[in-house]
Amino acid sequence: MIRLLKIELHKIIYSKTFWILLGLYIILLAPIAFGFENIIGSVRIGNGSKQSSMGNLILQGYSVSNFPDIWLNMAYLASWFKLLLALIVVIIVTNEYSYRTIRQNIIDGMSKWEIIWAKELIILILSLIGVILLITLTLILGNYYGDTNIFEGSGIIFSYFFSLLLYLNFAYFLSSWLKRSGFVIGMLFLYTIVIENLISFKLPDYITRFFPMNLIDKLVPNPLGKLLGKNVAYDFSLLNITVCVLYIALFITINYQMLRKGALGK
Amino acid sequence: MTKVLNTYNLTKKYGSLQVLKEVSLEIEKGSVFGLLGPNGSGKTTTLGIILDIIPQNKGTYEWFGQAPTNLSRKKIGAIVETPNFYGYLSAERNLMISAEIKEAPYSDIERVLKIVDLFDRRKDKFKTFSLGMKQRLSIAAALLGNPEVLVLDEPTNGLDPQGIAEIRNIILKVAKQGITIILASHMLDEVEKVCSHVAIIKKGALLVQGKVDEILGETYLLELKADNMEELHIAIKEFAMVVDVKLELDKYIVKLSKKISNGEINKYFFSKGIALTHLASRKKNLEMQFLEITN
Ligand SMILES: Nc1ncnc2c1ncn2[C@@H]1O[C@H](COP(=O)(O)OP(=O)(O)OP(=O)(O)O)[C@@H](O)[C@H]1O
Ligand SMILES: [Mg+2]
Repeated sequence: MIRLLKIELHKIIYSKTFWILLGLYIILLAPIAFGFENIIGSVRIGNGSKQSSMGNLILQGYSVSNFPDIWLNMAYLASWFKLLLALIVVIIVTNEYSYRTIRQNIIDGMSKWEIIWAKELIILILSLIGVILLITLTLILGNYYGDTNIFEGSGIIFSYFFSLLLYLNFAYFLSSWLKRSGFVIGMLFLYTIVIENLISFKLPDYITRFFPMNLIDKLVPNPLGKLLGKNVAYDFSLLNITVCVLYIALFITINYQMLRKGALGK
Repeated sequence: MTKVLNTYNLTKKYGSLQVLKEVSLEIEKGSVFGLLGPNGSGKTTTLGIILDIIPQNKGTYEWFGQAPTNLSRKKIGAIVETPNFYGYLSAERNLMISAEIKEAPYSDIERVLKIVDLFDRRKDKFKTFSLGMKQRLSIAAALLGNPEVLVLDEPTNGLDPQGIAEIRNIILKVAKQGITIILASHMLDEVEKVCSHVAIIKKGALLVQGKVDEILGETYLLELKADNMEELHIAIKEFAMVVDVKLELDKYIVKLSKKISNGEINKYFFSKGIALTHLASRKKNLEMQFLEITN
């Protein structure tokens, strides 16, 4: 494990692309999170009566930065930026094909499972970075009151963590399948925006809700419904997590089979 | 003799294209084994299979008498086709990755870089290297951790004459330490200069394998001419040592099973009443030998 980690760290520590993408992730997410409440707070609602803050409009003292709601709000906001983490995975994996180093790594003595676990380690680390950033931003930005229980609603951390694992594993799968970063990024967008919706079109909800991107939406749902008085909650049910883990297992299995069949790129 | 590598009926197809046909190789410990064949004959495919980067359709192989695992590959230093490194990393950092994979100590990096004369350039990025330097770096990587076997696919590809000579010297030096070397090449003189054993493949089929001097060794050729070529032909056929004879332009080329002095040859034909107008012995060159075997 330590050996695999060291191998992968050698590859990324001196990679400019890696640091630029990770830097963008943090640098973009943090200020936007800080501006989050201000942006929403300045929105005009209703028949034009200007409100200083949306929190005042929907009474009960609601604010996007209040505990416990801030956990979900922040997770949802951060979830948009997972694309940058996915790009890191795409670059790291497709590099191995374009430099043909995946062949050399195997020749030098990595097993095909080790090739996969090494990348899974990176996915784990990136997901943990995402979680740590979520916790940090939430704790910094949350509005504290005397009796605030900051842990209420914090279960979203796990839900968010699994959504990242799923998304990054999806990116890994696309990368080892398509092997060229341009194709992978194109396919990632195409799938997220078009393909999944297209196949969902005629299928009933109890099936489509388990499609990967839908599942991610269930794990980290859009909290804006709350403003309309709907009950929005992340669905960290055993069923969802099981399906999520099954997807990850499926992607890993396909990745392994592709390696075993010698799909090591040109 | 202990075997370093055995392959049993390796067969590979790409679609309908049969690339390897039942190739069975046997490589002894300590030998310098040349895998010789023209372009597209299946050398790289064979090496790819025994290094687990190309799956075979049929057949098996054993490293060190055992079913292969990634652990056996850690005892093998190998380069296949092109140097494969991370372009954005320095030579040294690339070797650290190889060392980490092979579980060789980092302290070995300096040694191998010095062998291929790249120590001064160790901090430079791989992508800034010339083709020859890239090739040398891959040889350095293959030497990391004192492997028991070195597998080299056209290691002198793209090198200048001096570079070719340097690589040959490195190979010979390494071979002297008892490290087994498997060398794929389409260049006969390369194989002749460094190899103790050779296997020749053509269109995916193994034609021969054995000791270099037995397979590519000299045979004895004579060029003969006389005024009466027909009589000469009859006399040649009656000569005991003759293996083969053919007419090439205006002379007979005669292949002998052993070396005989020109004096004795002259004596023989004289006794048959033939005066030779031309007698020359010629060492058969490898090029001809190779073409003959592969044709
Ligand atoms: N991925 C592939 N798909 C289809 N055919 C392939 C593939 N790789 C190799 N081949 C074919 O297999 C045959 C053997 O190729 P291989 O690379 O093993 O030859 P080689 O002996 O190494 O030749 P060279 O001396 O040119 O390096 C060739 O006909 C080649 O076209
Ligand atoms: Mg080749």
